[in-house]
Amino acid sequence: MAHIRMDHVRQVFRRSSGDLVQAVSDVNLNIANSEFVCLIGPSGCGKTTLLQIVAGLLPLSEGEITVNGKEIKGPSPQRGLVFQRDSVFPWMRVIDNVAYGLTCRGVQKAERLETARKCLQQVGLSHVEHSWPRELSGGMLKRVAIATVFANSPRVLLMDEPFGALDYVTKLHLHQVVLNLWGQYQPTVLFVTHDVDEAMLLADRIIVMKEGRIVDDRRIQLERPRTVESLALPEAVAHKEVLLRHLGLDALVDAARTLQ
Amino acid sequence: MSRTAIHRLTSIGALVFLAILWQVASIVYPYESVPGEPMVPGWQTVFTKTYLSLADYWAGGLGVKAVSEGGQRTYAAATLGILSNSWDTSLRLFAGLVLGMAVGLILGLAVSWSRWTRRLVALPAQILRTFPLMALIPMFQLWFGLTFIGMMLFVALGVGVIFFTGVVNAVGNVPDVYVDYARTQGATRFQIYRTVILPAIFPELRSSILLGLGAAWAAVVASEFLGAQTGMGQIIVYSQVFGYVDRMFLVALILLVYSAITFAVFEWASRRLTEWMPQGARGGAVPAAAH
Repeated sequence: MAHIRMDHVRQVFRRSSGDLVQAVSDVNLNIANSEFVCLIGPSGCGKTTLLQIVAGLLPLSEGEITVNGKEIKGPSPQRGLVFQRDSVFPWMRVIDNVAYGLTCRGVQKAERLETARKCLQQVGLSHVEHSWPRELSGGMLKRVAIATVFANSPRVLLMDEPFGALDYVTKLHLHQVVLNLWGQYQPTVLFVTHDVDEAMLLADRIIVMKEGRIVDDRRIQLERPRTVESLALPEAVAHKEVLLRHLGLDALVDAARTLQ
Repeated sequence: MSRTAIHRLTSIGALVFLAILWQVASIVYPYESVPGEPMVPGWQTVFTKTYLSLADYWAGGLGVKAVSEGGQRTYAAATLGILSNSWDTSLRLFAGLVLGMAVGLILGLAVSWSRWTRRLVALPAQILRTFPLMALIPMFQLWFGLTFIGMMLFVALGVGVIFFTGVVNAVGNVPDVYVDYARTQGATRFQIYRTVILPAIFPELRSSILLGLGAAWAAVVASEFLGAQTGMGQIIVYSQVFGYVDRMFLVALILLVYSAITFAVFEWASRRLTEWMPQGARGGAVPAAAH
């Protein structure tokens, strides 16, 4: 559980050509305890940059971000990040991967194995604890990454397009895994995606970014648990239309309108 | 017959063919370096007269008298001569190898550790590594004489230079995502180097280790050329003076066996250390064995 507050956040990069690029410009945002927030926007809109700043991987150029009132000074296991790319260490067995954060902090072996086993069980991977990552599918590797983050009992869960490369069915299964863990541990979630349906299935709140700025902030009050059918409800369709227009897909929305 | 058996037989056949070729050469090329010493000694000479002559390099002890003290040229004395000289050479080799790898690894890691260690290490190390190793032999001889330390340092320099370059390149190829993943889980910089960088660079370092092993054998024999009192390289130089081509050849054969053993041990250890890698990506150092 954590309350995240962003004040006039600005992030500037220097291209190799020497030009300055504003990846994030003047973002103000308040995220409540245990809120599930999806960040959506076209590629290059600054959503991943913002996530990396909250993770502590990128130093902030300007402004202030606090978590529970404390300024972010570098990465912390309190703010777990599930990466878009495969980040599971291929040279460690699954159980050692899940226990990695605990090992780094010097937690006793018996205790860290117990925690790791519990987390593996929660993502449905108890049967592969002694496997090498190379023996697992892409979806299973994501489950390992999620279990690893939860083994650190994070207050904030950051996810950077985690399921972008997975097939539809695997993605739906993993949504359930994330929602279950969220219900149980109640972390504040910041989930970056470019998939409108994914955002609608998961989020309490969808924030749209464009060219480094927040251009929309929508509360999604669809009843939980949500299913694929929930996406056909009038409220969902209305949200979706607006979101697709934000992503520059006006033509698609208009075409769908004419068909109705 | 299985495919592996056929492949193995083919490899052995090629070796036998080379051995026969040598024998044929010894017959059709009957010249001598000095009277009584053939330029191309046949196998019948190498494993009898030549082998026995290595008894000259046994300093005495273990109940077997040295030839210089009136002892006989026996197979026991010859074997002891080979073993004792091999031992001396191996000590120099492995001491140099371990020192060179350790220093090369530490300096290589220092390049990526922090901005300050990079400034301190990168440029000087890049300049030092371009020194031609063999040209440094006389300098090492003047500095250290014919001591164990001198020979060990010479080997360490040859190995360290190769290892340093390999480590710098391998660290540069470690995907950022692993380091970021470790950082977000609270790993310290030291922990990241131990648990992420080291295992991640090992597969790529295998080729540097193999090159280093080759360089170490070459360097240790070269360092012994300069007047060491013992060692396999010293036997070669001594033999050259007297035109004993057969002894040089036999010593070279023995060195060949040693380097084959070190390579095989390394291959075995490296397969165990890379158990986590996908099949096919493992054991890349000797691809021929995989097919």
